[in-house]
Amino acid sequence: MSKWQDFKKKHILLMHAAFTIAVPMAVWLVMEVLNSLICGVHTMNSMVDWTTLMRNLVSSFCFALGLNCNLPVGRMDTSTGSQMYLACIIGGNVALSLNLGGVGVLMFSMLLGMVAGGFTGFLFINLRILPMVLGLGISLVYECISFSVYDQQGLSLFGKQGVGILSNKLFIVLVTLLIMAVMTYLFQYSSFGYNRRAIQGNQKLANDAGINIYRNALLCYMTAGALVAIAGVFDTAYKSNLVPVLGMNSNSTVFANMFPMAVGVWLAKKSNPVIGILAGSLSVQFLVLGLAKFTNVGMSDYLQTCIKYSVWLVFMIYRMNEDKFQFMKDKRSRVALAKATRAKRMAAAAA
Amino acid sequence: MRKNVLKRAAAVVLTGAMLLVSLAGCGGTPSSASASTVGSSSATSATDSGAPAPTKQFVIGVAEAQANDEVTTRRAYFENFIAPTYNVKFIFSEVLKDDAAVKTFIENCIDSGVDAIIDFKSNSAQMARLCEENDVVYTVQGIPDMAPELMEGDFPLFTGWSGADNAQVGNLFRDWLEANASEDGSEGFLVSTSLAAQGNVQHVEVSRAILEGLQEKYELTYEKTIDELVASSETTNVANDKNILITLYPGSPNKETWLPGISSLLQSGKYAMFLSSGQTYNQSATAVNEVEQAFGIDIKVASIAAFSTTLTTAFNTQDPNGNPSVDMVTVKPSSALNACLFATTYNALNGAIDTACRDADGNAANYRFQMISITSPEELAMTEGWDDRDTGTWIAGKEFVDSMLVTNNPDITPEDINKIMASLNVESISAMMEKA
Repeated sequence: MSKWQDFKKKHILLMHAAFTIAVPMAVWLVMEVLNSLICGVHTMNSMVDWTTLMRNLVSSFCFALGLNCNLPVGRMDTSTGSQMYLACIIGGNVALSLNLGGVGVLMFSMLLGMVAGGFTGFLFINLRILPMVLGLGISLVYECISFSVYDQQGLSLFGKQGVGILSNKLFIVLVTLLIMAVMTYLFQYSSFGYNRRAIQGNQKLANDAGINIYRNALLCYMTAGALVAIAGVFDTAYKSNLVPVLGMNSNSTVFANMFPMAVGVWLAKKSNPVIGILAGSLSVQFLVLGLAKFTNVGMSDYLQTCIKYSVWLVFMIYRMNEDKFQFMKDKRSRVALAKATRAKRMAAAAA
Repeated sequence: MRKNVLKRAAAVVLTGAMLLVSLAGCGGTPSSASASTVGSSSATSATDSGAPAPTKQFVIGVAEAQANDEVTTRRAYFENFIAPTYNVKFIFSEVLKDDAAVKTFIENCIDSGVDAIIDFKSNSAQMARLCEENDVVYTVQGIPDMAPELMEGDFPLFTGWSGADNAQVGNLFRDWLEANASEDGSEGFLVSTSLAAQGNVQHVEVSRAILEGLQEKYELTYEKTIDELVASSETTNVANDKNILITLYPGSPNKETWLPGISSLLQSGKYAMFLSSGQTYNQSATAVNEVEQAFGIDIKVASIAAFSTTLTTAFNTQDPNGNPSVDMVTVKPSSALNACLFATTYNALNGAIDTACRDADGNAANYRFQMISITSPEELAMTEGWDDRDTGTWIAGKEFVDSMLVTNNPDITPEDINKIMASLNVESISAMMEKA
C-alpha cells in the first residue's frame, strides 16, 4: 500500500470532510474563474452577495432536506411546493395580524407546514394512493386554498414591522445551525431516524420486525412540511412577497430543489445526509450566483436556467453510471498491475 | 378496535384543523359567486339614482395576467360595486402565463355560459375568433398596434381596446427625469421591461413610454426601434448616439433568476436609476436597499403602481439614504380603466356595439386614459381614499360609469367616452372625490 493510501486509511474522517467541502469549493472556484475572466467581477462581489447566498442557502437547504425526508424511502411527494405556499401564506398572514414579526411568521408557517404535511401523510397511510399521484392531487387542493385566501395576494413582507430579522445574517446562521442540529439528531440518533433507515433498506422487513411504518411515514411528511415552510419564509423575505399559484405551478419549486438534494445525497456518502445536503445546496447556490453575474454581459436568465439544469443532467448521468466508471477504473488498475507483474517476472526470468 | 378509534379521532382532528385554517384565511372577502347573488337580488338597493335596476344578469369573464394590488383593486371594484349596481356576475381567472392558458380560461368560461370576456393578458385575433364563434363579446386592455389583425379582421363582437395614453406616460417619466436625472445621463438607467417580451400589454406600453421619455429627455437616437428593443427577451444595452447607458432587463420577479440578476447589475455600480414597467418596487426593495447600504449609493426607483397599502408603505419606508423606497410611481386610475372596459362591454351586451363601440370609420373603439404621477408621500397623501377597496370609495363612481353607458345615454359614441376618459387628471379626480 502506498503512503498516500495509508494516510487516507488512517485519516478517513479527514478525507471525508475534505471531499464534502471540496465539491462546493470546486464549484465556487470554477464560477470565480469564469466570472473574473468573462464578466470582470467576483462571484462573491460584496456583502450583498454574501447576504443573498446565506438567505438562498437556508431556503434551498431546508427545501432539499424536506424532500429528503420522503424521497429516499420511496415516496416522491410532489405536494411539498404547495405545502410551502399554504403554510407561508396562511401562517405568515396570521402571524402578521398578531404583530409577531419575523420570528412569528417563521413559527406559524412551520406549524401550518406540519399540519399541511401531516394531512398529506395521513391521507397517504390511510388511502394508500401512490405518493406522486396523491401529491399531485393535494397540490391542486392546497394551491386553491392558498389562492382563495387573503384576496389572492399571498404573503407580503414588504415594509412589515419586525420582519427585517429574516434578512439578518446572524439570525440566518442561527436558524441554519439549529436546523442542522435538530435534523442530525432526528435522522441519525433518534428512534425515528433508525426506523426510517430500516424502512429505507426494506420496508417489508422493517414492518415484520415490528417498526410502525405508518407512524414513521406520517412523521416524515410532517417534518418535510415544517422544513419547506421555513424555506418559503426566507425566500419570501428576499422577494418581499409570495404570490399564490395554480395549475400545479408549485411543482416547479419541488423540481428546482431536486438538484441540491441529489448533490447532497451523493455527498452524504462521505458524511451524513444533513451535512451532505448543506454542501449540495451550497454548491448549487454558488452555481446560481455565478451564473447571475453573467447578466452583466447580456446572458438571459433563460440561458442561465438552461445551463443550471444541464449541469444537473450531467451530474445525474454521472451518478447513475458512477459504478460503471468505478468498474472501468478498477479494471484499468488490475490490467496495469497484471502488466507490471508480468514485466517484473519476465525481467527476473531473463536475469 | 382501539387503533380504529384513534385513527378516526386523528382523522377528525386533522380535518377540523384544515377546515379551520381554510376558513380563517378566507375572512370576509366576498367571492365572485356571492357577487352574483348580491347582484341578482339587491341591485336596486345598491343604486343611488332614480334609474331602474337592470333585470338581465350578464356574466363576464376576466382574464388576468398578474397578481398584484391592481388586480385586487379591480376585483373589489367589479365584485363590490359594478356587480350589484349593474346586475353583473364576474368570473376571475388565476394568473394566466400564456395564450394557451388564456384560451383554456375562455373555453371554460364559455362552458359556464359567459356573455363577455375582458382580457388583460392577450391581445390576439385567436381569442377574438374563439369568442366570435361562441357568440361572446370580447374586450381587451391594450393598443391596436400590438394586434393589427384585430383591426383588419372581421370580428363583429370585438368591442375595442382600452389602455394608457403612451405619450402621456412617457411625458410623466420625462418630466420626472428632467427634475431628477443628470444633464448628461451619466448615472446609467436600468429598465425592467418585465413581461413585455411575452407580449404583456401593460409592460409593453410602459416600457415604450420609458424609452420614449429617455429619448425625449436626452434627444437620443436609438439604433433599433423601440418595438424591437421592448420585444427582446435578453438583457440588452440600448445602443444610442450619445452612448448613454440604458440596459433593458426582461423577466418577472416570480422567476428565481430575476432578483439575483437585478442585484448583480446594480452591484456593478453602473446604474443609479432603476425604472420598471411592472409593479416591482416592492419585490426589488430588499435587493435595492442592500446594494445602497453596501455601496453607499442612492438608487432612484420609478415604477408602475396601483393605489394600495403597498404603495403607502413604500413611500413611508425609508432607504439607507433617508429617501422613500420608491421615488416616483405612475398610477393608473384603476377603477376608471375598469369602468371603461366594463362600459364598452356592457354597451355591446345591450346591443349597441355598432354605435357605442365603433368609431366614425367603423373600426373598433380605442380608448386612452391618463396616468397620475406621484413623487412624494405628500402627493400620495392627497390621493388618500382614491380607489380604496377597503372603504369602497372609487374614482369611477356611479355617475362616472353611467355617463358611459347606452342605457343612460343612448347616443353615446366612442369619441364621447374618450373625452370622458381624457378628462381625468389629478384636479378633476380631486373634485370628483370631494363631491362624492
